[in-house]
Amino acid sequence: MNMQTRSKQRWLLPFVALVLAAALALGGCGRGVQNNTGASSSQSASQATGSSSQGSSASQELQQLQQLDQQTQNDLNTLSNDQQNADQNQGSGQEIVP
Amino acid sequence: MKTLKRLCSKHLAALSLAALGVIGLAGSAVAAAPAALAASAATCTTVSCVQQFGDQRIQARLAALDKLNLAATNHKGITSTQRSVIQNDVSANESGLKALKQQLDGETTITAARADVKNIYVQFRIYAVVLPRDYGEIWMFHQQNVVARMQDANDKISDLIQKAQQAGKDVSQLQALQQDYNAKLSDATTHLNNAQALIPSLVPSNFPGTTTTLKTYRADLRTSHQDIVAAAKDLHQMVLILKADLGS
Repeated sequence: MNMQTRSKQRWLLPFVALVLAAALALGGCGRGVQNNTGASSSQSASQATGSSSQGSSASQELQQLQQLDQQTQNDLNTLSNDQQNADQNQGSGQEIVP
Repeated sequence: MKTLKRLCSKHLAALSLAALGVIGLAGSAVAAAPAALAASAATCTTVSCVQQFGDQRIQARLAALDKLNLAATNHKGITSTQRSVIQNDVSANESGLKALKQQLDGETTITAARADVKNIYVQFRIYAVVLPRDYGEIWMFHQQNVVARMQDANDKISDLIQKAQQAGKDVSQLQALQQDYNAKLSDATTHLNNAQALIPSLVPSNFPGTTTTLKTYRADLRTSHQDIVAAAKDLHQMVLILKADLGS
């Protein structure tokens, strides 16, 4: 009985050490994988941004210019209102001092 | 047939005469309005009559200032800083007119009441100076903002023209349009600066000299407005060409 217990104890320590080592190794690998995934995703994001800014910059600029054109056309209408208001208030005969 | 024609022509002539008469009457009524207003105050023989006349004049000016304030407050094309310039001016004039009304209402002699009424015109000049200047200023602020935004887009236009050229397109028309665009915006800026420089002299104490200054002020604003319209046409044309050249 004593012999059996001693034999179990002899195996237990290396077994625990092995499990711990395996757990640590797996954890490290997992973190490594996680890090790799993060790096690759941010890299791919920057690549995507880079490719989109390079590839479609002309269309983006054109779109912005079209927006400015539209906005300017709207402004022309409101500028006409401003002019009308200014024309209606040019100073009048109501300023005659009684 | 001839009788019918003669009858028609007689009726037409009568109608024309009647129309002319109506127009003439309306015209004389419009011309007589300020004179009648002036006469009604001059013919006052009691303090209350002068007070009533003055209060009506002040009320009309306060209403006109409220309208100006609303125009500035609701304007989407000017900045909050620009808006506050108009709002502060309205506020200062309204406070002054309200104080004058209080003073007028408290007068006990016709001479003092008449002096107060005179100050509605001499001190404030709401119709002759304040409203023309401030409505012009709203117009000017808005134009300044539009010009700044259009000038900011110039680099983008240059870049797109370059891209069209690199794509093998003939860009001579685009270049001519861009040149005109910049020239118009530059001219608009000059006239807007000229108009802005006149604002400090547009004060009640400079009346009646302000009448001539206001003419120059409005002429500058009109010219800059025309420049913006021309630059906007150039921009629109450039966008159409670039869309065709580069796709959208």
